[in-house]
Amino acid sequence: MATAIEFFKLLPKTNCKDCGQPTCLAFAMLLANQKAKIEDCPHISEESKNALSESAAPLMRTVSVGVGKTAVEMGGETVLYRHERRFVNQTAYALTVCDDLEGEPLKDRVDAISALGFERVGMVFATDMISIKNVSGDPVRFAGTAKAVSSIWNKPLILESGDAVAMEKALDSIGKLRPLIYGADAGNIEKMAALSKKHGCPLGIKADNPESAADLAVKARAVGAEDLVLDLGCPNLKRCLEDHTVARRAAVKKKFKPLGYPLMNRVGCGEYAVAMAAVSTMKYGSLVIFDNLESYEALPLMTLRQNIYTDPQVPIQVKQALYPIGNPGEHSPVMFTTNFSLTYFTVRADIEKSRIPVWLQIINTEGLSVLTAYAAGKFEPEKISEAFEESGVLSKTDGPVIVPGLVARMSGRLEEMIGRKVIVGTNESKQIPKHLKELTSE
Amino acid sequence: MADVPSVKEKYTGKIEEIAFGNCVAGGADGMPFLSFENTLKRRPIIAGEVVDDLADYPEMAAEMFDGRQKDPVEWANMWKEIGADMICIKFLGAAPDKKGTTPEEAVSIVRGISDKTGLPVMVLGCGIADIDNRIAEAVGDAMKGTKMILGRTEEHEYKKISAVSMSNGHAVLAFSNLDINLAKQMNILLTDFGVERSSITMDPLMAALGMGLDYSYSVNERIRLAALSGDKMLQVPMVCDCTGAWDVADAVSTDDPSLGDAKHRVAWWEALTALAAMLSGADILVMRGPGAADMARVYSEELAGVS
Amino acid sequence: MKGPAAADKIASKYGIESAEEIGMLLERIEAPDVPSLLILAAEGSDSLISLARKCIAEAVRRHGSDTVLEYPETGYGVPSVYAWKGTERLTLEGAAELLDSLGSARSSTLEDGLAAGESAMYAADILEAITYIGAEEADRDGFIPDRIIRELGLSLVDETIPGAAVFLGDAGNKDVTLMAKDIQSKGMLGLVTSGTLSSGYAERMRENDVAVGLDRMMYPLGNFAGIVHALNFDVRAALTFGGVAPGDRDRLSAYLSKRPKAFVIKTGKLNRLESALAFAALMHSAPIVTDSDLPEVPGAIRKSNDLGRMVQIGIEERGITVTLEPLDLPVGYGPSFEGEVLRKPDTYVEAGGSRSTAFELLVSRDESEIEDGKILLIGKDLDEMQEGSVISLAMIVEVYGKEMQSDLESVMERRFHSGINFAEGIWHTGQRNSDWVRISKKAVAKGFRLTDLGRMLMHTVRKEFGRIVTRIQVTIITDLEEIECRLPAAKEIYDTRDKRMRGLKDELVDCFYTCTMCQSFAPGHICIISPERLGLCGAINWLDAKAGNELSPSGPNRPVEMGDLLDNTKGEWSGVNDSVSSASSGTVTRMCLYSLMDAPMTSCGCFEVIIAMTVDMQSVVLVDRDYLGMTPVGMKFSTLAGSIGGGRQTPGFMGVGRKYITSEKFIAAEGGLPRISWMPRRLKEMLGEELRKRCRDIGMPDLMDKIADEKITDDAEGLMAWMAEVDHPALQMEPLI
Repeated sequence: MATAIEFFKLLPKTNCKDCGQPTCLAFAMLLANQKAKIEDCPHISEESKNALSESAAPLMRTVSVGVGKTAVEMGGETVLYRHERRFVNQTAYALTVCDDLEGEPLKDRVDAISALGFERVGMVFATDMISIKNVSGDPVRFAGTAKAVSSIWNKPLILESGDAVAMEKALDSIGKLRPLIYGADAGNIEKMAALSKKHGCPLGIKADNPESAADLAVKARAVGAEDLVLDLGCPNLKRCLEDHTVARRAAVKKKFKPLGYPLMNRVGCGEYAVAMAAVSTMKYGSLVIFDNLESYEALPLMTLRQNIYTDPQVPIQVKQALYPIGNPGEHSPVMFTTNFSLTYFTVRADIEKSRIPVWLQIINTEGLSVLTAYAAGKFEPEKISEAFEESGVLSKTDGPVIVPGLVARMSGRLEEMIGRKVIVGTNESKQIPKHLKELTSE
Repeated sequence: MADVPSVKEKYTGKIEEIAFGNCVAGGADGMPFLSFENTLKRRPIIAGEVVDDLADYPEMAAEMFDGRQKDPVEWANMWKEIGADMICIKFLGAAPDKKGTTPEEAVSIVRGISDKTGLPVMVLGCGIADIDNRIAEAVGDAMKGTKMILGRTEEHEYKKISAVSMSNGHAVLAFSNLDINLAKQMNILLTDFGVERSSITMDPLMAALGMGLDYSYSVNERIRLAALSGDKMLQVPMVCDCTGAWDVADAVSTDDPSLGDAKHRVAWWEALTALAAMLSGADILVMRGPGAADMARVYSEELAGVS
Repeated sequence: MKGPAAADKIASKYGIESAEEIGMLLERIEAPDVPSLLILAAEGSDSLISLARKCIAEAVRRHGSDTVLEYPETGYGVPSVYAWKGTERLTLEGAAELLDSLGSARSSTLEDGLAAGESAMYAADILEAITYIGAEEADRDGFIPDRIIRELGLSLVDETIPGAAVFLGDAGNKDVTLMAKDIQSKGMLGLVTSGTLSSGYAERMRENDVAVGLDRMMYPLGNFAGIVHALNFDVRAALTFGGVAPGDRDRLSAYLSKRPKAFVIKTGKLNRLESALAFAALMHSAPIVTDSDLPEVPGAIRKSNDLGRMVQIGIEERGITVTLEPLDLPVGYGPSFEGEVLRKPDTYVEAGGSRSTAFELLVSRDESEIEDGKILLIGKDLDEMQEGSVISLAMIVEVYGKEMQSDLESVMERRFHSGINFAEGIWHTGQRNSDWVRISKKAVAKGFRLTDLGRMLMHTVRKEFGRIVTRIQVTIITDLEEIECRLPAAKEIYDTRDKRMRGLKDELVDCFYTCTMCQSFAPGHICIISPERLGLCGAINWLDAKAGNELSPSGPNRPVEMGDLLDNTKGEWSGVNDSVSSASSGTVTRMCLYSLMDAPMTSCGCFEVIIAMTVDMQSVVLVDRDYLGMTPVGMKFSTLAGSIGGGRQTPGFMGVGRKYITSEKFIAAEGGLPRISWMPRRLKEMLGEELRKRCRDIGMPDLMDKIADEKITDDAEGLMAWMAEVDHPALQMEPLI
């Protein structure tokens, strides 16, 4: 990947701001971090553009499905391990609607899929796509179901059929929505690729292994289909892990273009499907299509996805707020800590273990942990006292304020600022239950 | 057919093997389960968790053991029936504010488990150094000749447990807090102290799904990559305790029906934690729920190609 | 006891009437150099073997050649033979064969000496074992039964018992009571021999009512060959606790080199028996501290005439860490009191803070200048002072340690702050001769005295730096005259340190240090800390890193061999490249310490300041963490930080520690200070005089005024206009790209 300076060299350096950035340098920085596209610069010379496209040419193509705000991007990955650099586009999950449904049952099915979602740490987890599966064998019906679903589902769609005629029919109807054409195999690759080109829709290729996927990808490209998603036909967990690894390494480390596309899996439902999806999520899958997913499966799976695709350099944060734990009252103690999600969850779990109600005030430290935040000046008595004011916690309880043991040295100043007795707590979260019990027994 | 370039990595390092009778941990010479570079076909060891005091143990988990959880030996035996390879006994009750399990009682429990199940045992304490040291000392001495894992050693508290292990031929569990350098430092401290590298297992803290799993996943991967690249001080089997999944509110909550059945949900929560652990390098998995343990075993067998 | 009578008594101990070897072995001889020591050892070894043969022959006559030789109450037969040779069952006949197989000792090399020592050890162990034939119990001076080792148990391994001292030779008129107390107060084991020709340690201790015995951790070994019981104790500990298989010499050696941590104190003139067994001690990694006329051999033989000091030397030589007693104070002590605020009305007395003369100093001294543990108060104590008074106060900590370096003094001195503040009701701020201390009324009422202050300092230094300093002495002074008399010397030390700091140049040191503290969140990042470029967090300079390495060799600060200087201007060294490459698993292969554009240092996330190239490529702007506004490069600190952090190299952008800005090596490859065209006003004020001075030093006294800030402009065009207006020197320089 080129550095910001390398991009900068090729930009006009006029600081015209037409790209939305105040300077060309700032724009170059975005390019280097893959947060902007070369096309965003209207003044770039053709020459530079070519040079930049070359150096910015992704090892793995970014393929987008759907249109507008709900479009889902897949691929564009540059590394093998997330500690090297953030995985860019998280695995998309699609649920199936068969084209033998219509009327109320169809609507119920789509509604059920729409309802499958959660909110966790201020983030919304939901299904990303619906795959319309051609089980009827009837092209008209397939196209009809696609149309019907598209009218009540505003996120991207997948058209799942091995029948080029059915596919064409459906594309004629909803092609403008840029669905994923899923069903190109050795038998129909030319036809399907031609449809992909004609409608400008991405093409999902069903192969048997990395080799055949590479072959089919080359064929599809020859016909002019450029946005490909590869299904390596993994029948089980082991093949999924190994073949996905082979494809990703070949693309990213060996710059092997025929496998430089996002990967997908088609699974069924139930326990094994979830396991497949989990392996695919951790190991380089960009899309998993399920027959169905229970909410008790979806929540852990989507949490896994969120964990894997978190930027390792940007900690997950919780909101600065007052969190009552276990129904605290007017004498309950006040504890506070940083908004680093890991810190919050750990402290919260340990307070819950004590079974003693506590007012837990979270301070926005931009996701830093206690000591780091303190060292960086983001966890100061001033800030804490402000947060107390904002939440009004001190008017809700006359209980003691417990300062994290690691920052005991702030206790004096904090006590002066808030005018409330401050108790020094424990250094480690796991000692909280013991400390709270001792405190309340006194 | 297209010629996909070979993507096999040439590693120079190999993870130490530790044998607990027929139960062997470690030995990998490539990234987990990749048969094109890792010559080892071995799945991680599944260690079933047993505690001596149910005071803080989740009821939902206890219900899964048909009352046999009331007797640690019987509980361990149930784990064996379910298919666990090892028992991880945690003496949480040794803390003074709990039932106060004594070192002598701990010895009798561990001996009972070992006699009854014939499985290797990992012995952990309550987190209070003095107490844990006394338990490790008593159990380690009493179980001389039957190789166990004694834990946990930490940066400022490792000498006693290391000494017991060296004296009695046990392995040590080296704990570090989500940091590859600290993990390495622990192993250096232990080897400097005289513990053989082939008697060290490391616990880099497996944070559960939704509780920092992202950190653990990457720390584990980095540890394993560094070990395979030749860093001797990281070439020891990795222990991942997945039971933290039960501390996640979203995993066990029964308040919100839209989250689906809690028993199934927590099973997945723990199983996915275990899957992430094994894909990032775990050699020993500590599991709480029988369902999750079973999934971890079955999936790892399939991934390792030993089913 | 006269020589011949003593020899006969020894002979009878081993079951024979007399033997000329005994006289030979006990003859006191000087061995002023290594060759003569080797000869003595060889002669001693041969004599001992010869003596043992005679005694075996006599024992065979009495008990039969099939008689198994073994000590009572042990499972290890004749332990030295079992451990080193792997022979579990040794008959008298087998013992004779063993001795026959040893051959006569040579004396030319150190290996010869060790071989002689080993042979002598077997002979001695066999001799002693013969005295136990038929005995059921080990109930006299001599062999220490297995049960004692088991009772001591893990304490021997986990260093709860930090070590053992073996006392050997003439006790003469030594103060054995003090010595025994010293050993016991440190929780160590003592092993004492009896004398043959004159009074030995065991007798002298008993005479002085020091409890000697198996239950007192002061074990009597008996006389003559009884020394071997220290060795057979040592090897049994290794077999019992080290899991070492009998006969596995390599692992046995390796284990003994770690523990039990024993050393030998030998007083009085040496004889051949002791010379030979001294080498056996070395084979067990036990160094010898002696007042005899012996050559000093580093790591093996150390000399001293002072018994109290001999123990200290043994401890230091063997690397024994004496466990720190918990600090017992009349007031609370711990980190929870660190943040305490002590107001004037609650203050009993205060010192310094420009109200009175005060200073604090930690200085390293020679080994002989320090009495470990001594706390001296010169002047009045708190109870003799008026409430509310302002006093003068000097706190002087003097230290010694084999590994101590004067460079570490300032690092240790800085820990006084937390060491004092940890006490409830004691408050400290500042440093050197601008420190300020308050002691509360409550603390004084609870009985806090200035000696307690001394104990706190001693405890702090020992706790934090016990690995480096082994002797500490504290002096607290409240007497103004005395303080004023000592202040000039202290000021001179401060000056020397400052000069040293200023004189610390990258070219003049032989290693840099890494800091890998941030790798947990920035895996590819590694800080290379050189004297002229501190860590980018600003918290760790070269001296801190050096101290960090001394304290925790396996920690985040490791030395970096610099290797070949590849580019002087850019600050590129081959060794730095290697180290960076290995720490980043090959992602970063080069790092130039003084360059912004070519292979700059990676940035983790905790940098104090970011350097960024300007859009005209002529200059750089600096922006610090506290400045939240826009910068002329079009990015705020937070945007820049997000783009360059995480352990990547981003040419044109780099995170640095604030102090690096005024370093002579500040982006030297790009022309240094004159490149700076903009920085936030507050940062400029903070750098203040130091920056102004640097500008003068490079002959651009007006540069400071040519550096713009946010009040002048915060956009690219504005900056370019400003630079043209003030004719900024960067405009005359080569573009950065």
